Amino acid sequence: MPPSSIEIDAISKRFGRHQALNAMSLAVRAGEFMSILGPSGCGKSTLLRLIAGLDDPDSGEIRVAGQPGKRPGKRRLGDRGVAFVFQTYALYPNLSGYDNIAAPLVMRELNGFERLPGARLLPAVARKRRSIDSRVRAIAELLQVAPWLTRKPGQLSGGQRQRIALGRALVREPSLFLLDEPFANLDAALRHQTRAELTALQKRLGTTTLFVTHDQSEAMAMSDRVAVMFEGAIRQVATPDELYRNPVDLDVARFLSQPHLNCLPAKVILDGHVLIGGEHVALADARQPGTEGIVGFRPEHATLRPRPASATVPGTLPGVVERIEHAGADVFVFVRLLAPDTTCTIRAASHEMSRWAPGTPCAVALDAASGWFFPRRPMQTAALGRTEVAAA
Amino acid sequence: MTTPASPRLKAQRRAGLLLTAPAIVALVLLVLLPSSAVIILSLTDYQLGNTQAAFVGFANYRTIAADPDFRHSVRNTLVFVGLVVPGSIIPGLLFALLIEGRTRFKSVYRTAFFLPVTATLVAMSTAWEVLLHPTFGLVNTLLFAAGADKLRFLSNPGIALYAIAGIGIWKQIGFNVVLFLAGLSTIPRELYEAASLDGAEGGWRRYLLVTGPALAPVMLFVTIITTIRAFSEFDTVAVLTDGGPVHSTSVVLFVLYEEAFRYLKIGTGSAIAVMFLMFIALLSLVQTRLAGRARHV
Amino acid sequence: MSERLRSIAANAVLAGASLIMVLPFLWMAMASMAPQGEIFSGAIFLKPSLQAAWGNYAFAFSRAPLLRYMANGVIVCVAIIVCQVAIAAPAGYALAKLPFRGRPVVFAAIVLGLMIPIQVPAIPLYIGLAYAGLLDTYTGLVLPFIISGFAIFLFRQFFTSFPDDVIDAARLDGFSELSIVRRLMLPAAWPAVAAFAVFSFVANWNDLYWPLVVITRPEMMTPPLGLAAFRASGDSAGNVGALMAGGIVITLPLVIVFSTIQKQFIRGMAAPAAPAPAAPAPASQASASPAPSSR
Repeated sequence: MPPSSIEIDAISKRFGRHQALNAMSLAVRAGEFMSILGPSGCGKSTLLRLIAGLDDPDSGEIRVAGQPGKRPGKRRLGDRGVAFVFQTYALYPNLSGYDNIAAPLVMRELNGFERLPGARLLPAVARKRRSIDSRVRAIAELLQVAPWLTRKPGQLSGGQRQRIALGRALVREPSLFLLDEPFANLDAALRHQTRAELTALQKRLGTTTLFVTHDQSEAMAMSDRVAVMFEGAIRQVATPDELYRNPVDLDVARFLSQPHLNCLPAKVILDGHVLIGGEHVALADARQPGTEGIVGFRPEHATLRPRPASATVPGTLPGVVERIEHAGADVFVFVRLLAPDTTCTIRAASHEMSRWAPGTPCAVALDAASGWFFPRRPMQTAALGRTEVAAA
Repeated sequence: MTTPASPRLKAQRRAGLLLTAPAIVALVLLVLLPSSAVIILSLTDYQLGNTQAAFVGFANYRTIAADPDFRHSVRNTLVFVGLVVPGSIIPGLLFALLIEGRTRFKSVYRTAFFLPVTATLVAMSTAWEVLLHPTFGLVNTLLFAAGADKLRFLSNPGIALYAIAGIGIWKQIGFNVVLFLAGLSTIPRELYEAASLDGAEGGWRRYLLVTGPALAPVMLFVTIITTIRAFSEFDTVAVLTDGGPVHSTSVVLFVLYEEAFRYLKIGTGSAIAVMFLMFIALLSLVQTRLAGRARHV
Repeated sequence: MSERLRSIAANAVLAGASLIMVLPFLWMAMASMAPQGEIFSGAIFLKPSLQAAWGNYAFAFSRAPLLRYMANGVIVCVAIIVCQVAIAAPAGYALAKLPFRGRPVVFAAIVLGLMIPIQVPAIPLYIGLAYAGLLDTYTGLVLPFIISGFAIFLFRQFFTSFPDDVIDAARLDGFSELSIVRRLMLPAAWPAVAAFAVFSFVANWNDLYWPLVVITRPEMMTPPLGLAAFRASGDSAGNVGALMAGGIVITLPLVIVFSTIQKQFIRGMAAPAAPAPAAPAPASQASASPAPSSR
């Protein structure tokens, strides 16, 4: 089937008192690989189930391939070109790997009579069976699961099950491919390998793909575009690069900067200048003097400089090294700032380690072009709710 | 929720009704409707073959209430229940506890007690009949050897009911042992270890502290099902004594069978069936109440 | 009392009780192979003889169509099990997984139906079957038992723990709700099906009441009814050995088969009493039902 586009128009979904989706809208282009990225409980799995037609929205509309999506009553779910890979894989426990992959074809292309074991003797049925068999074999070859086709899911490892689940989804050449945290139950090495394979596969097949994950590195590595979701609504849709460089708000910035984002309360004093804890600091992103908000910067967006014990270096933030953490080629230096009373994380080359023994006075110099300024919103609702915003 | 039903939900509701439809139809046609009909029949003078019947109020109930044979059967049934319920539950629990405590021969004992559960009661009754035979039966041989008089177990009106109850106990003990064993196997070993740490060393104290409470739901279930089964006694009486001698073993279900299907007295037969139903309903109600309370304790 | 003494005492008690449990069966087996005179002698151990055994069994088979009874029993029991599973499995699935309107009512009706023993609706069922001309037929023997509330409970309990994701995946793959039951739920519930089948088979094989009501023709009799008829007929009078042989023939296969699969049977029988901790809600409802009647 040709790849579908999806238009989601102001859909809402409520489970009891929990508003899972709140008038959210999203457009996915045909053939695109889009990740839905967000913390757990943000409604991303609900969104996927609604698109698949497994649930219905309370209000709003979902159009797949440009047609209104409110038709599942007329067509059976299986007749829509939607394939779904579940986090639990949801393999049929009593069927072999082969039968799992063949199931969507058998159920859609053979009627009840043709599915009977003896019906194979009829030439027409035998032809259909052969066609199904060749497609199952081809997918198994593609996913390298051919050796395990005779085994049942209980006899397969997590990675093998995952591939069978992918095969079952891909075998019917869906127009829309939905994956709900498909790598969550794999170990790290396998996750990286499968990630690359899935991306390559999607590029080859050109199927519109929606990929739900809470792992920002996964989303960044695989997607054409990433939709970041918080509290039942989309905050930002952008390419991975754009998202990394220009997050639209503090929640997004923090979610994409794991494990560390430095957040300091600040006030714009001039265009391009902010006041942080009494120090004037250059920051290109700062606009509209008088605005209060938060300066956010990643550990690599600042450098550490030496500082005399009881003095400050103009344009930098004074502090004292608290501790050091190894991270391979780099080290993270945790600096206790003098004002505001908080800790910053700064990345440094590992050979510099000896310079920053705990207790050493230092100055944090922001990279003026890379940091962000997020104006305080009237009702700031930080999903990762730390205290900086409230303090500001 | 007040949102209008979506097509998806509608489809699932339709499927739900469709998939339960055969069960509902069968339940209504084969259980609920006939059970209601039996209540109506008990209030009429319907005869098999007639196309009409007259409403006679509680006349059928008055008839059976005044019938000495029926009253006798109620008394017999109560005696039978009174013997079989304690007679099969107390030893059943004891044997189950003894078996659970064994390390060897456990499966041998379990198999032995399992035998009466599956064996056809009709066949086993005929075996018991021979074992209880007044002249050459094994039981009488043993009695004689012990210096006692031989007994005409099944033809002496004074003891026939007790002999039938003995067979009933034999049949039910096995069933109860099996159920108690299943219940005992679900008690976590840690509970016993905790109990012995708390100083409950002796078997009896361990029972009071751990086994008894943990087994309470099974005990309730066993008591109810034993009572219902004892009240439903039919096979042994129908095969061995035909209610006799002189109605001494005639139990309620046997009278019900005779009235309805031997003499084709539909009205009075139905009245007995209704009373039987009411008794079973009462027991089920008691069980549901007690089970509900047991869960909340 | 020392541990050792206590163990010996317990074993002695259990051995004695076990002997009483198997006594009628043992004695039946011995008598079926013993000559008449030996049985009437009142001896404790009956000396079996090949000739007497042959005589007893030959007599039983020639005077009572034992094989016919057994075949009837198998036909009736299998038909009942097939119907019970075919009706109960979809209903159990719907009650476990489909949120349809009226579900509580259906559930309550099934609880109600479960409590009613066959003797209550027997009279109207008998009248109905008589008018339909179904007395003395397999249909008449099978029909009242095709609905089993116990089976519905058991299946509902089993299906509740089946993962919802797999059901959703099946719907997306084009399974209808019925094919979900047939192709996914039933195979997954195989232990429950087996346990129930064994339980149902024993209950219906051994039932005397209903066959006694609807069957009068000897060729339609089930094993217990046939044996009772054989006992009551003049043929077995005085020929205890042959009667015991008949009893062995109809009991032995069942006892052998079900003693070897005790575990499954007990699981089916004890399901309402000792529910699996994995599914507390349906289990508690099941335990509120009087259960193992065969319906």
